[in-house]
Amino acid sequence: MNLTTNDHDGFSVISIEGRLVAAGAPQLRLAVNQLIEAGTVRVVVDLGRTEFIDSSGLGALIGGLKRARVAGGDLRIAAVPDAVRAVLRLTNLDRVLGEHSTPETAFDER
Amino acid sequence: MSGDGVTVKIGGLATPAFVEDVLDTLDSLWEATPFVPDEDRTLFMLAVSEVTTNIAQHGGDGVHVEAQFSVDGNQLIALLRDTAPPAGLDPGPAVMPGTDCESGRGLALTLAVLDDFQHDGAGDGNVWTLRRTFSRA
Repeated sequence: MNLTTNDHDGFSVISIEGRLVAAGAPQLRLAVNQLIEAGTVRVVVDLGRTEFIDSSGLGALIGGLKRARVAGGDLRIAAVPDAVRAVLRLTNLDRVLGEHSTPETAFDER
Repeated sequence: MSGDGVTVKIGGLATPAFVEDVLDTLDSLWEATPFVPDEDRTLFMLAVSEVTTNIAQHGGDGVHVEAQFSVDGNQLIALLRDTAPPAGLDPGPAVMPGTDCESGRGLALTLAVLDDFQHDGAGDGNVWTLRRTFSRA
């Protein structure tokens, strides 16, 4: 898994390339924590190049969402592929994690 | 096994990196079986990832896993043998936890996507058998 973070106007985008599973989940948790500690509480996780997710990856997303909301912000997901959406639906997390078509528009309605 | 069966194997120490190796091995199985629908691949991989991760996280140090994955007819089959102490399966976590929980979904997801899930922990280690049936176009 490769993770990159890019700052935008008022939010940051974490892009996940590859599989979001146990080996990479701590990287996502760390990236979200670092953003929030630096004062960026609006976070988008771009899943456009995420091939697969399991419960470890879901846990990192939920952890990030909770952390962002406690800090007064939010974590949203964007560009969700079918393989990831199938797992989100099984766990009902599609209702919790706000899904947006692109990272750039995830915080348009603030 | 019927005549059109395809099988791949991998073994190694149960670590998070080994889970990635297992998923790479499944990718090689899909390359040889393009008729398996995408959703069935994803959901079977999900169960395999959950079971393998569980062994890596709860089996203890130095646990070895031998895994075999097959497409046989309209069945996806995984057979994993590990050297961990026999695992007690708690049916409690089989209930999907609330959406605010950060963990505890592994077994519930595994059961949700499989047609058959067997665990034999009576011998020296554990044997996990996972089956999912798919529709051939």
